[in-house]
Amino acid sequence: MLIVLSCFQLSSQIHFDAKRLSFNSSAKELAPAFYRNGIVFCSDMKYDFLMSYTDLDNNPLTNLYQVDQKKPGKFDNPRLMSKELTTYLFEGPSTLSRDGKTIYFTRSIDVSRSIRNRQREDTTFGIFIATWTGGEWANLTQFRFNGPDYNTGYPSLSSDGTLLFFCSDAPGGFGGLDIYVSRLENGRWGPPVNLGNVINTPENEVFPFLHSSGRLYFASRGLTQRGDLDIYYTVSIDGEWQKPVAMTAPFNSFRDDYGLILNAASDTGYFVSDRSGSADIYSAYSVIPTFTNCPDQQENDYCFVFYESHNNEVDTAVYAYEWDLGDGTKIRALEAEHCFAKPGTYLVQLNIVDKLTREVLLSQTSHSFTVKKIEQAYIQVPDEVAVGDVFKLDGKETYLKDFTIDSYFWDYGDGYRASGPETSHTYDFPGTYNLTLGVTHKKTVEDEPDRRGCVKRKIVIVDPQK
Amino acid sequence: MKYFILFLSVVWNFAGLHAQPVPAGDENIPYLMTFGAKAGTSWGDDDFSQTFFFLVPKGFSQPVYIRIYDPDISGTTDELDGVFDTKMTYLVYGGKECYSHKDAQETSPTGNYKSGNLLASKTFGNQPDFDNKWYTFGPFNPSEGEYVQKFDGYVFKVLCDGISGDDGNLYRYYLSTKMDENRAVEGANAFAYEYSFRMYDNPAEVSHIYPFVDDRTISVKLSNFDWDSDGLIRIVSVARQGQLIPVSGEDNWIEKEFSTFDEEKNTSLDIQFIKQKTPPVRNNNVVVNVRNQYGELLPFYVIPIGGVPKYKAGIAYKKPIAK
Repeated sequence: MLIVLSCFQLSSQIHFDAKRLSFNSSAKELAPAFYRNGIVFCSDMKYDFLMSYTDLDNNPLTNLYQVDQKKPGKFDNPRLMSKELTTYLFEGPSTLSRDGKTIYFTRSIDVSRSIRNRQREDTTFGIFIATWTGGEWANLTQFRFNGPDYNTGYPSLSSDGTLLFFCSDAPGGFGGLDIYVSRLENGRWGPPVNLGNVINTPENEVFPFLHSSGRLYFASRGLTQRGDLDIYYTVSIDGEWQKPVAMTAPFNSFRDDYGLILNAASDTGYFVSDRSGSADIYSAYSVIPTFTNCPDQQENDYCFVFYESHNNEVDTAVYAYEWDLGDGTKIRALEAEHCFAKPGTYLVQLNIVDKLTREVLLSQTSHSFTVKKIEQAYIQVPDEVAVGDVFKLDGKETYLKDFTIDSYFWDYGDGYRASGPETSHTYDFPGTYNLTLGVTHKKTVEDEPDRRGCVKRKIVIVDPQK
Repeated sequence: MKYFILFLSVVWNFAGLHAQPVPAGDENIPYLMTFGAKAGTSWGDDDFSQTFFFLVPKGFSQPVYIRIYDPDISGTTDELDGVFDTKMTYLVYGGKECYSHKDAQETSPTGNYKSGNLLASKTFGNQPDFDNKWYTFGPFNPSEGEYVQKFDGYVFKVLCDGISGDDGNLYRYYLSTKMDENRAVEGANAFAYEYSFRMYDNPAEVSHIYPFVDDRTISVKLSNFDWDSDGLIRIVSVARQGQLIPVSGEDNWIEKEFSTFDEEKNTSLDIQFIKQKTPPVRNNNVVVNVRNQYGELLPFYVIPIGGVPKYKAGIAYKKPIAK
């Protein structure tokens, strides 16, 4: 069972490819955040040739950079994001509001506290907030829960802007940097809440990212056996964070992997990995196409009520109706309600027996009746499955007119995808998920336009412990 | 009307009709019925006269004969009231207005209902020699009938008038090409505007008459007389699976007016006389006529135009109501 599950999880994520982005340099690039049509990240690349600050270990300090995406996968050269936000000390991981007009970023709290060109040992970092006003970043304020004696950073705003996840080593945590969440209440960030020891460990948990689906991605050094940073995800069910699940390849490697962000469709994202020797930003993209605006699956229903259509109100019911429904079923009734077992063409016959004269008034009035599947992609799957159970999904019952299926693509609604007419999956957390099946048409002539079909349905994942 | 003529022409030219007996086989009526003039109407005849028209297609050039089965009023076939003292006259008319005169197309033997040229007549009484035998009028040249354009043929009128007495005359006709045997006239037909007939005694037998609904008809009024409440009268058509109508009792008329369906235009209705099983009613005579919304009588063709109307059932389906 474990082997099956392991293989299956691997296959469920194998639809992602990862690529080291071309703008990475020999310096460190890390902490990507979505911004406009590109990303903001931090890097310790040198931007001032006259002066460079380091930490006490003589490591260069990072600043915020911005890079635009010209077209999918093609980026311009990075540039300093903002002179207003740049100091000679540390600017680190950031997050932006959906409208791009508010930035939360990590910075050394007291930039004046430096020894020559080195950041002092007792300097902590905190979250700073700035707004885009008049063509520049301004109105710089501090997050109200920054503290001079502990670090606060790695901010991540929820897509609706009401939750701020961040990391802090403030007293009262579980050790190292823990992940906290603060809720926006009446325009003011509420008291931080530690996400608890299901997520937080004595080691560092960093780079939280709350996806619009509700899934929280983060990196942990304490959850792994090897001691490197790996990317995990979890969800909150009824206010309780579930046991995190490690991402597999290509997200995690044997080196540090962290800082994953994903777009709403979960088919494109970015993360940081040291797998090439230094911290670089990678793009992760699904090799399985995304199908959107898919209709809800309708259940094939082969049940019908047959009736004599010409009967009118002046007729007197002195007749017996004998129906032969063409599949061996015979019904004596005015209306014959019947469910056919499968699609096909059935010869439905009606004998009307005159009860006054005992004659067959109309012998074998017949109608060739074709029972069809609903024209749609079709997902065969149990309605309900337990967490952790491997179950099959089958798309072969798909019926689309004049459509020769070339490929089947699955989106399980939990970030995983797969391909093939049949597949299997397991869910890590209870809940209701949207399953999507997309199919593509096999072209018979070269200039035939692309044709696709898709359908979605829900599947309920239950917790067997409850 | 043009379409009606065309329609009839098509039917008669191509349907291969043969005017055989009157009543015809599809009617399943044992005998026509006419009582002597002194009979009470409670015996089943409202006016002691019956008019039938025989239609010979224009292209038919051989002589034709009109034959009468059991023309006399005696023996086991006819209905006795006391002693057989009834006289019955059969009259054959042709020529101008034998059909087209309006009195000829009415239900009652009034006015100039004997219009046209009298071609032949014969009066019968208690004459056992003719009991269950055929008597033949003719030969007649088809052109001796009245040419009627809408039928594209020649029409002969045959009256059976109860002259005297009170017994019931039960008889049949046959339009034949032979004097001494029944040989059908191809493409011919026979019709009446009021049908007076005897029912079978066997309650399992269902009799039929077939009024023709032309394309002007939007409603009809069916009248039946002296059905003696002997079971049910039902109308079937291509669009009517079976409509029961009110039935008359002893010695009375009852009417039922109803709309016709578009599908019934240029087809015949099948008026079915379904006898009750118990208690069995014997010697039941009935008179029927059908008028359209203009009060015009609809003809009963012994060979129904368009064939015996069969209800055209349709099979349709719908989704079950969610439970």
